[in-house]
Amino acid sequence: MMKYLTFTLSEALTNLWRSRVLNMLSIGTIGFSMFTLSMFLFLGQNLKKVSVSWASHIQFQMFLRDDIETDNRLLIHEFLEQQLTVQKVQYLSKEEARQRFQLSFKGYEEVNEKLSFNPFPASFSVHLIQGTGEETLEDLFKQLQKMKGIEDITYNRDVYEKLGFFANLFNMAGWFFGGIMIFASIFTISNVLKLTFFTRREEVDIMKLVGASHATIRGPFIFEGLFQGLLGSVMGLSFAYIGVLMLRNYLNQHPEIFLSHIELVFLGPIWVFFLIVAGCTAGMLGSLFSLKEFLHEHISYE
Amino acid sequence: MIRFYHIFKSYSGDKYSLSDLSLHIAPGEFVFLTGASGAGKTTLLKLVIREEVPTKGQILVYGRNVSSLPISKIPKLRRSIGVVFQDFKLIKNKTVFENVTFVLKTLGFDMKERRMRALNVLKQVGLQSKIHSYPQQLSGGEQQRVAIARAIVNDPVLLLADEPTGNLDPEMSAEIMKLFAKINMRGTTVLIATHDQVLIESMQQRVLVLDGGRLATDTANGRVYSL
Repeated sequence: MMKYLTFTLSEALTNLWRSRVLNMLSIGTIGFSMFTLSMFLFLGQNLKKVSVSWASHIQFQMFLRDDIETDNRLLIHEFLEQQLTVQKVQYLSKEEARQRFQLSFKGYEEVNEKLSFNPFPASFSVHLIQGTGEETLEDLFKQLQKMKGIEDITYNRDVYEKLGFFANLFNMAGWFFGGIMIFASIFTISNVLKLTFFTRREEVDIMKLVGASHATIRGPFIFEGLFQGLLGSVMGLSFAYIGVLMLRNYLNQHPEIFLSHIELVFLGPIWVFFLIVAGCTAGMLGSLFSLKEFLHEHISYE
Repeated sequence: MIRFYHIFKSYSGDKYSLSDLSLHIAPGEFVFLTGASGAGKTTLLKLVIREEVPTKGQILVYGRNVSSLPISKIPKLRRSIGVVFQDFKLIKNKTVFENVTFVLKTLGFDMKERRMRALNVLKQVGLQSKIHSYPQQLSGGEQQRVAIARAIVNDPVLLLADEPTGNLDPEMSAEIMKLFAKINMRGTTVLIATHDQVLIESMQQRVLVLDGGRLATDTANGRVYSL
């Protein structure tokens, strides 16, 4: 077994080096497909992370009518504090709302000065506990809408939903394009190896004539495909990782870009391992497909 | 060693390359197989190594029924047979030494054994000084000697050669024949397909003459075997 493995590995490595230009084509194709797949997965996972992080801090704003009576306001406050799903309730009076506007939008101070009245409504900012379901939230809204003095309730659910949707979309696109690319890689490896077989058909013919077993003839070719897949996937993932580092660096230097505050995380070790295994499998499959055809057509024992 | 029982071989339809061919070659014999082009010489050799399967009949090689040999057993059969071709079939990007050791490497011999056997066999064919040369740097005769060295390096019991002197001049052909005779003297059965009558006459060995796929004559030193 050891002799067989030594022979197979040494032949595969020698052949890889001997046809290095041709083999670079296979390695490059599988590298590109792994790069594409890993980048899509990276984007999908990071967007998912953002959406999960946001969703775990669900909050809504409840704006009060200007003519709300103090008793009603206190009733609402008390009602909110009694809810099990509510983590924190913050009241913001009309005056506080105006002050906050002035602080946040310093260029628009004159707007407030020119207005003879305070246009900002008083509001409650309600933070819910992590994992609050949508049905519970809807029930809470229904009960609040029955109470007097509430003008409007705003909840940025759309943003979470869209973000989650885009995260899933990136993941799906990753699998779609990555899948296509992997099939293209299998096809390329299969054809490149067919060319390699053709250049080495005399060698294979001699192996067959001296009584080399099927496994001995096939082994080096299968390992060659496996090595191509391994090198290609490591190359693709390395480029993806360098890309992520560059993106992280760029976002750090440009904080004005949307979502630039997010700490980008590359694919975890399990994903990296999975993608490398996928690359090796693609290489082996490409090799097996071409071997089956080539051995049958050119060097069959039958 | 080799027994053919009423062998028929057809590649297409009713046209037979070999027709009702029966013969026996004993262990340690040196036999020439001759006949015009298309007489069936190469087909006969291919049947022995199971590169082809007979359409009808049975072939025994060292007691093994080659005609019905399972595919998985073919490699084992071929390990006991050395084959030499007219066009040498050497691997161009491997040196003389590598060409010879490649066979042993394929068959799982360790490095020390490979080296010892290859050097020994290259010495026998007189190429010990050319071990680092590539096939294209050698003459036709030298290339054929490498091919012979490769064929005998794993000590086969049977050596088949298909027109081994076809690309060589008469002087070189005689040299190669001497080498075959030397190998035969060690006990290896040798079967050579050739149409070179001068060479056959000079060797004074058993001759099988094929004509239209049939065994026309079987002679040794003027004695005709019963057909």
